[in-house]
Amino acid sequence: MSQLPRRTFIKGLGITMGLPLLEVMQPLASASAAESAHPVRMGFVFFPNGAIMQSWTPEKAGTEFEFTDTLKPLEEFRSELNVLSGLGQDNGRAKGDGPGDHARCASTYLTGAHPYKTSGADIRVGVSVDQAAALQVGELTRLPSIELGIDRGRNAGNCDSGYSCAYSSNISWKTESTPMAKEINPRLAFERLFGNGREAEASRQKRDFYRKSILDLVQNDVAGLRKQLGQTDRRKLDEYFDSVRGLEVRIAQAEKAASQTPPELELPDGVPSDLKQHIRLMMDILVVAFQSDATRIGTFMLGNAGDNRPYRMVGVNEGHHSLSHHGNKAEKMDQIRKIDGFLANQFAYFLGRLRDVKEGEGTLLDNSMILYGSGLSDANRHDHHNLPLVLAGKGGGTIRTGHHFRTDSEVPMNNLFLSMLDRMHSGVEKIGDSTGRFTDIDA
Amino acid sequence: MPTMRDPAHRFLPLSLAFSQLLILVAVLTCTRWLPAQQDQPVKPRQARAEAKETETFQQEVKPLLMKFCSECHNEDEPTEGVAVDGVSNGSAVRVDRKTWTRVLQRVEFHAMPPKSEPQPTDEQRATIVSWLENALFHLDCEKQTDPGRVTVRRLNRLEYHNTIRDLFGVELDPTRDFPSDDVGEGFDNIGDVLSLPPLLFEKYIEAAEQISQSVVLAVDKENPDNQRFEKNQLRLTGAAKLVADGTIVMTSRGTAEATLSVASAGTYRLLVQAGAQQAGDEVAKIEFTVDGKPVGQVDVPASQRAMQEYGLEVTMAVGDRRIGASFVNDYYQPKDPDPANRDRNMFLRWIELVGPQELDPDNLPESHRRIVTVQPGEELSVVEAASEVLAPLMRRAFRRPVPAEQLQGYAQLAELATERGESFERGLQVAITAMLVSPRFLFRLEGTDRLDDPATIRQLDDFELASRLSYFIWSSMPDERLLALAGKGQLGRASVLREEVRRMLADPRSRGLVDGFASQWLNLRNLDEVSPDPDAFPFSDELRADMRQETEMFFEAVMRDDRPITELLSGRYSFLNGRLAEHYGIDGVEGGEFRRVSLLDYPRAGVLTQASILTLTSDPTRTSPVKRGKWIMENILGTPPPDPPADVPEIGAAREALPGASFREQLELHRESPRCAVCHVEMDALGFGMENFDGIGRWRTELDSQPIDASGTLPGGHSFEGPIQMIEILGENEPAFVRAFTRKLLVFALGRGLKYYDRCTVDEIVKQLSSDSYTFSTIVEQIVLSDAFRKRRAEGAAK
Repeated sequence: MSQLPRRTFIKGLGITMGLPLLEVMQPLASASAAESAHPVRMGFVFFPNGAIMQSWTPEKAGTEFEFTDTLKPLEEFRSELNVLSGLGQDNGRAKGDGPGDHARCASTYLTGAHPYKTSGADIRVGVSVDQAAALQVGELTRLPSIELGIDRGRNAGNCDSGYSCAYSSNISWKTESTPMAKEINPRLAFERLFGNGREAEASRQKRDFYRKSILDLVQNDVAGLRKQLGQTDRRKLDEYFDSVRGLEVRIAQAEKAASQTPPELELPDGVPSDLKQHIRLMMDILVVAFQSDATRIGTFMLGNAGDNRPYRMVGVNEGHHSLSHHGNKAEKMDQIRKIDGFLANQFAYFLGRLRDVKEGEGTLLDNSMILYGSGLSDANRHDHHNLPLVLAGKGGGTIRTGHHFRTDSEVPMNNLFLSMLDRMHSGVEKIGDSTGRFTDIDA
Repeated sequence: MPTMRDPAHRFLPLSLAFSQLLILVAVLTCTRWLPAQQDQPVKPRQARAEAKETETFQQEVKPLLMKFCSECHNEDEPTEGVAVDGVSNGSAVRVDRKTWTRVLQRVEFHAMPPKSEPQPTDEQRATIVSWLENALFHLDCEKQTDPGRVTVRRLNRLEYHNTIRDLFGVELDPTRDFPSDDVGEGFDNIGDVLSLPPLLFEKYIEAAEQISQSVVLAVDKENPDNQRFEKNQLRLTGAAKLVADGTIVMTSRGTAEATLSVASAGTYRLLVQAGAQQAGDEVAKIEFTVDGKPVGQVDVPASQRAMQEYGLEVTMAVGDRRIGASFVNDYYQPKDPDPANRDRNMFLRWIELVGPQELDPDNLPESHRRIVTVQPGEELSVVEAASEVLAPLMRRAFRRPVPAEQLQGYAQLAELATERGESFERGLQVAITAMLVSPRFLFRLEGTDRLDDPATIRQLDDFELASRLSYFIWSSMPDERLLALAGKGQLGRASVLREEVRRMLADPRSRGLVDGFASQWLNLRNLDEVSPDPDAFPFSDELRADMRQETEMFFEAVMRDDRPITELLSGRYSFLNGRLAEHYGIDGVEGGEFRRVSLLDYPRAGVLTQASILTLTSDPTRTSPVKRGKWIMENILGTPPPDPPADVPEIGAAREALPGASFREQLELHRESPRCAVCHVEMDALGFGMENFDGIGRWRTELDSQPIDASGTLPGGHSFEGPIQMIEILGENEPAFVRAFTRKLLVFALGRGLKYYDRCTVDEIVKQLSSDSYTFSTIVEQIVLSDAFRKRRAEGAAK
């Protein structure tokens, strides 16, 4: 059909990409498939430390399932979501690397890759599914993707059994060695998407004019130097160049989307100390970001892997991670259930906000696919199979909803990711241990 | 000179009983000496040694492996990827260091062979272990040591903050909104882990713009900056109300205010968009305020349907300011016969501050006057003037001399601005912004390597050395003296380095070692995350801050007074304020100020008994002896326990089998499982030794009406009663602590994890320390003088 290579293999990612020809030959902005009136949005909401699976998994499969205690808050979205049981992330398992399941489960969660066990040298995992999608449609929006969180990364000491803290505090990875740092301050996240609202258009133009000249200069200044560096140093400098180019693209996008009024959202100046308020503000931001098409891809970590915060608002005074090693003690499991329910409630809030936004005949939720879940199922045993997962939204009418899909044998989570990437027109053919697509969800 | 074995095995002579503990400690230590990622090319050395190695293997070791291991670990059935039958010499083992290091650990721990299988005698086990160690970790310290390779390091948040402070001489807080730097090897200055995602670069350029505008002031008359506030951005008081269409309505006296940050002192224009419903004799008036003080009034003749802009000139000082607009002449005569003349109301859309229109020449900041030393004129082009201004600044920002052609590019940015009709100062702001986002500023680039010969080891040049020194001791850029010494080519001399280390430690900037090193070595930064249960412990953010300050001041005192580092473990003094003293039950300390307090009459000594450490090693509702024990092993003894076995839940099951048992009794069940006992015997003993301190570090003698049992026996039979005796035992083991501390400080200094070849460096430093009573300055000096610090191995070109 063509002499252009149909496939490129991005080294080390485990992702084989078949780039659609159109997009190789044309500027991205006109890539027709991705440019519809109501594009598909992709979101991942991650919670730490697994869940009490007995209270999570519905008994029946199919459409007649009952919402369990933990998932009860999501019942009002029955016709707009699927509960998925039986998916696993095999690369989160030790595979000879010993303990460290929390760090592994976060870094594996969206990458499907096995993290290289290191506390310092050679951080390496894989490109995450959100970033693979951003590679394809990211340039169509102001921001290719947004990464949100509640906690900063850890500041000192060990995070998890010999794994660098980078692994436990990031689920989104731009390259195999560059985690996407998350924004935890709601106001700053908002301003990153929409500007601070106080800056006049003329000031922005002037600033961007100089920014472009500055970026040109600094890139030229060290272009020669780059060639003289060893491979590791060069990789670090390449991260710099990638980020500089990312900013250049953003400037170009801002010119196109000039003088768009930012959505209205009341935000505090600092990071809210109330967890529920903090979580909901971040969700509000994701909603307005999707609604205004400022980005189509977002990840949100409700806590870093192995997070040990208490949830006093629901009467849980002990740390989440300590409790998750409940040793099947009823009282501890009850405490965890309270946390599971609290978090599911927040997710229900998010879905409600998405559903409130009308888009054409449907809603923003209809045009989204939001995966809610954790990288562990039973955290007491550090299980990486049968993960607690809910896939909400109809992916623009491409996903059939209202089901509890249950598979008897473990299905790679990467199969689901492939199916989700299809809906972002990303042309990815294989991720990690994927064995095909998760066609159950196909409408 | 004998070659050196794993240093952990070379403790000073100690009592026999305790030495058994040390053997266990040593056993656990080997996890740290993981081999380098790339094996060194095999050198044509010691052919004889290798022949000897092979001979020992064939005659003594191989038979043991075949007897005890080969049944499960053979080439037909290599359980866990280990096969012993095919191994014929040391090289075969070195091919897969990772696997064989694991084998070594398991055999040493008595974790292999499994208890159900025939066991080797202790002597046989020692034979296997010692041969494997030699094969894997043999090092000849007489030969040139490998200085390792440090990946180019991006400035972390602390370093960025301090560098801006020292570069411009101003205290700003540019890093507040930066994402946290990921931690590796326990520290956040590890080159391999410091990445630069797009989010961070955006923060960098915003910070650079703000910094450049704070240190150099500029007026932009053509297109002055404006900051506009409307709707929810305004704080409304009095009668001011926000209505649905975004208008602010004031039916009687009311005020709308906003807080903003003024970067440059000077003249500004303060504006509102407003209209009014007129009534009475006067026109409706707005009074402007700055920080609540009236600065003038304007008439607002426009109607609310056709609002107009009204404003006046104001002088603003630098800093956070409140600007406001008030409706000040309300009029209300409901009885007036003319319905259109009964009520005067104000309608307002936004408030804006535009400028500066003009700078206040008497109020230019110090940094501005220091930087802007010349102005372009007839004799001096913009590029020439900018070069003159930028040259000294860029030399310091890039931490090395800047060639003319490089300088030119940045100076031309200034010209770009003036060509657009902007001021010279504005041009300088642009150039300084570029300087601050250049990789030459953001990264500590260490020149270039010989790509054709990856094994080349070279001495760092003096400028590279200056940066290593300053970021190690100050977490900041080199000062003028270091750069001058580097310029003269004198910095690399050992005598000069010694002198500089003393000078730098005495300088207030060595606080960087507290903020950068101590706060991470002792995990103090994690104190921010702990969240003790208010029902269990009276805790507050003030107490949290006090705890941290105590430990920081204690560390700083040992550093500043150049005390032996062993005082960190055993010093019978600390720094307390009233609140913390009360917390500790110590009398006679009042008020908020911290002061040095002797602890000789109290059961506290060194960092282990400080509330900060005791709190961050506890769970929210109770103490965690396991966490405390682990913390001591990791940070004080340098013997982090190995990872727990994968199938931990059996402990949970064991726990349930004994309902109603005390926590201590429950935990003691661990030791019934030999695999758990290996580590928990020591970890738990250390942790329970601290049980007299509750989850926030208060002294207690009872828990749940039961007396606290803080006695214990460390492996090897050394018994203690309570924390002070336990710390004394740990203190007798000086080299273990000194070695652990040295290794942590070396990781911090180098910005990389230690490899097996770093052992010679550590040995040498510990040797020097023991002859100099372990003083703080000696350890810093010895690190600075080491090859690992002063040299660099190259790396191959990108594949």
